[in-house]
Amino acid sequence: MVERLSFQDIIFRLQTYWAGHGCAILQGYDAPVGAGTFHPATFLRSLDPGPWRCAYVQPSRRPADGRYGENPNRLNIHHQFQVLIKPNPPDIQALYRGSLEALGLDLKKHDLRFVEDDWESPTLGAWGLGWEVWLDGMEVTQYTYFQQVGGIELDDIPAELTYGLERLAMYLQDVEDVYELTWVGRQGHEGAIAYGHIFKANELEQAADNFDTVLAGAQVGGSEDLFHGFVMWEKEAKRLVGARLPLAAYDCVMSASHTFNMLQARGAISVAERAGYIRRVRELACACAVLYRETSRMKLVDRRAELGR
Amino acid sequence: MAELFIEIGCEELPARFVVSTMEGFAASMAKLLGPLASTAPRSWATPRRIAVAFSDVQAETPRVERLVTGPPVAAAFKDGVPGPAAIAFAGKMGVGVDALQRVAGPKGEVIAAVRMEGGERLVDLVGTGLEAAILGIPFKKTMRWGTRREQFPRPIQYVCAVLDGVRIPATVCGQDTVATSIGHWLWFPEPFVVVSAAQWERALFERDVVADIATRRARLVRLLTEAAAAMGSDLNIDEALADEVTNLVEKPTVIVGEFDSGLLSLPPRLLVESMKVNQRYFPLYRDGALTNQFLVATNNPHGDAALIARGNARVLAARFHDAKFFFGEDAKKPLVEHGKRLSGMLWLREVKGADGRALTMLQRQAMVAEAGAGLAAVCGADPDRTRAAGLLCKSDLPTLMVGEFPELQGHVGRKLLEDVEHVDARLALAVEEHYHPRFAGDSIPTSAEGAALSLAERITLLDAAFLAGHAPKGGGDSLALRRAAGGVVAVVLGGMGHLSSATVPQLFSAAGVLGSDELTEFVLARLKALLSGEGVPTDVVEAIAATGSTSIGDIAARARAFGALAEGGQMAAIRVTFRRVAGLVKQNAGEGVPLQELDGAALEAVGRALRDAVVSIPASGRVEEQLASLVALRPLVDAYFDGVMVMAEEPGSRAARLGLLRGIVARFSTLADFSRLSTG
Repeated sequence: MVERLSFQDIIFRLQTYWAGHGCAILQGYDAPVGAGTFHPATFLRSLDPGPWRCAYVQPSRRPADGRYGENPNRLNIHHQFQVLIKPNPPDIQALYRGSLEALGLDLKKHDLRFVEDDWESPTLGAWGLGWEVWLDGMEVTQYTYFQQVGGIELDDIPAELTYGLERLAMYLQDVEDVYELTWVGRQGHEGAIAYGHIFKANELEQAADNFDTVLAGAQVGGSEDLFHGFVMWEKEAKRLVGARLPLAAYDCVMSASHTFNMLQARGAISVAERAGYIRRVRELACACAVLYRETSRMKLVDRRAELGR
Repeated sequence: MAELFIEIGCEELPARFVVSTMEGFAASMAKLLGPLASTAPRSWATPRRIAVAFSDVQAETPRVERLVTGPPVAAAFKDGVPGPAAIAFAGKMGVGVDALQRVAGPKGEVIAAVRMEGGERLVDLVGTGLEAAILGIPFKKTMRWGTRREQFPRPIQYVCAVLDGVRIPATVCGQDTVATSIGHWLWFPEPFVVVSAAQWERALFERDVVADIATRRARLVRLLTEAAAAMGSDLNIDEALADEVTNLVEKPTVIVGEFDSGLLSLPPRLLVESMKVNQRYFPLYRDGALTNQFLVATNNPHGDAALIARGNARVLAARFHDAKFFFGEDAKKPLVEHGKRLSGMLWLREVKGADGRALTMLQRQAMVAEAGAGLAAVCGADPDRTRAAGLLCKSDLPTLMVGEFPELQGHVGRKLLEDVEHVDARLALAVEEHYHPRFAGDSIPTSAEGAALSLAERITLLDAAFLAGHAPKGGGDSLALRRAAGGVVAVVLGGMGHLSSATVPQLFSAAGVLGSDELTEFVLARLKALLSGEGVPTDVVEAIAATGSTSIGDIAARARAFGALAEGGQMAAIRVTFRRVAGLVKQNAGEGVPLQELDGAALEAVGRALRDAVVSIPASGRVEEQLASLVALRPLVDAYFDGVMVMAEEPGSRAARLGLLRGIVARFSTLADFSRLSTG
């Protein structure tokens, strides 16, 4: 590799590339989520009538994957670069390959493969078919044609491309440890800022929060409050669905889902109870989706009238 | 004669669907063409294309003249002038009224017209029917794309349809057909013109696509074999993996990869399964042991081999990094210590102990250990070693390693016992093997202790679930009890120790569970399903089971012996003859002189011959001997039926004749209940 892109250069390149193909470049959503799919720009906009194109970086929290900043490959928070294009254009696969070339990859040297992967999010009532895209055996992108979102069969089909930025960057920068990635500047040069410098302390603290009480064998200190938190977000989401405010309600669904992930990381939810919690989140997500599908097709003036404005 | 060639170009199909989609498409097209295609099609498939060619199709269906009759002449013509009925009929037939003929019908003279039929053109048939033929292929899982409503496993990119090199106009998923194809997407993205199937296949080969599955697989296997030989390693090729990889690439190219040899201290099953299942690599072995080298089939025939190999090695390093950390942590404590945490894990919510609370995995482990010790004798196992292994068999569940790789349960326990604690290897093996068979067709335990624990695990689960009222009903089987019962059958048929002669209730009793007739039937139902799957006729299996035997080994031995007769074509005659014997006996229950009291004078010569033959059959014998007797007896029985009328009017004769048949049924009562045989 001639050129070693910094982490943020990779983001810039992808943003520029996809902006060039009509995507609105958004910011990651300001709520803790497990994946870029949760972002309303993907989850709710998939249900919109008509075309939609966007791209954004979504910091994604997987509490169970935290490793105190000690594991070179696993993180509590990693970054997904998410592209959603609806309806998918016929040449979307070629567009995707073009995005890799925009990162300086000469595909003629590498082995790029599309390996079957049926994607499903039981908490979002969503599923799709597609592939995990392998670059020299490494999964660098999750590529999905959504079929159903929020329990609703979609009219036009969006293609969702989710790049795992850390993995991609480790490959492009040729480092074995995620914390050695260069976020900005040139590796080893003055002024360069390393990934570890930015995120390592947070990884340590988040993992300590998620695991230590469990490992000490004590009754988990924060779990009771988290359970209450889950119920609170659930109640709040239901109230807002009742008030016909799907966007606001969906914020609470994301919070409920994240709270569930925290409880899981702490081992506070038994295998038997797990399905029940997933169902509860799904029911909320589906209720938001159904309502959003209705309100997003209303004229703004009618919505204002409905809400007394 | 012309050649019809059609190719569906699509985005990467799931490897497991490639063959079925190809076959489904060929069948679908053959159905569309009907008599226009006189020979079987040739098919090709890669992840990105499905193609079919019919080498000698007719351009149109043969034209034939057919005389079609209409209404009676009397109704059609009035005074020789055509009426409305005649005009309508002529219109329908597409002829002028003056072309109508008069022919004699069964009820008098009717009008008729000659119609030209056939002449349906292939291009029209394909033009209108191609889309339905493509979408009508049976698929397991399909999707939509873009704004289209049609469903296919992955988006269709083009459909090439040519008749002798000329495009057949048609529309598929909103796109017009083309007369071109595309080679390997990376190296040859430019379309090329398709003239014939042979030219297409050759052109693809020049464009880095091996379209024929068998050729592609052969190339893959050859390259793998050569690479392994060059490394001085053994491939021990996994055929199913080779099938899958064949359909993951359009032109396989093999590259050698290598991972840090320090990782070889990890449980080998983890390494092998990660390589095969997650990465589709082919592990390499030397002297029976796993090496740190592997082969990977890439889809880029001209790529940078070193770069690609390096990337693939990195994936494994990342994947195994966690595992190495976990296994290291787990190895700090003996397995028995890990097992203590089983008290915090529940077995099944459905199964409660005497205190009304769901059993913990610790209680479950003890249950398996005790049942296993009870079953040790019949399996030829050492009861103490069985119990000791049983008391550790679930203890790896709380380890970090199994938490991360649940499919390694049992294997991790074994590796910790072997590599870290250095306990008796047979004990360690039993810990792993008690999970076997994990699915239908999986390997069964190789050790007697493993077999005892495997049976213990399954029998106690079945008994507890049935007692708790969770016997599977209909299609539902959330506790996977059918699989458990199938496991019992598989292990017993393995024939360890005295298992072959044990009855199901004896196994229950040895395991220390009560069991029930319902549960015995449930287990035997899996045996029946297995035997039917092996090709033993269902009625034969039922006839054998109806003798009341509950020994899995005994029923299977008899069924397989009968199955061999069926394969040899001898069953049909046996069915007819002995079902008739059993039927007469059953219809006249209670009638007939017992065989030992039967006076030869009451029988005719054919009867006496039959009686002597029946009496000389050994009362008990091996299955094969009994079957041989049965086969030998059949002509005598047939001769008897031919020679005498069993249901004679005269009571004495009838009693004697029925008595002889009763004697036959009694003699074979432990072999099969002939009345269950079907002759239909």
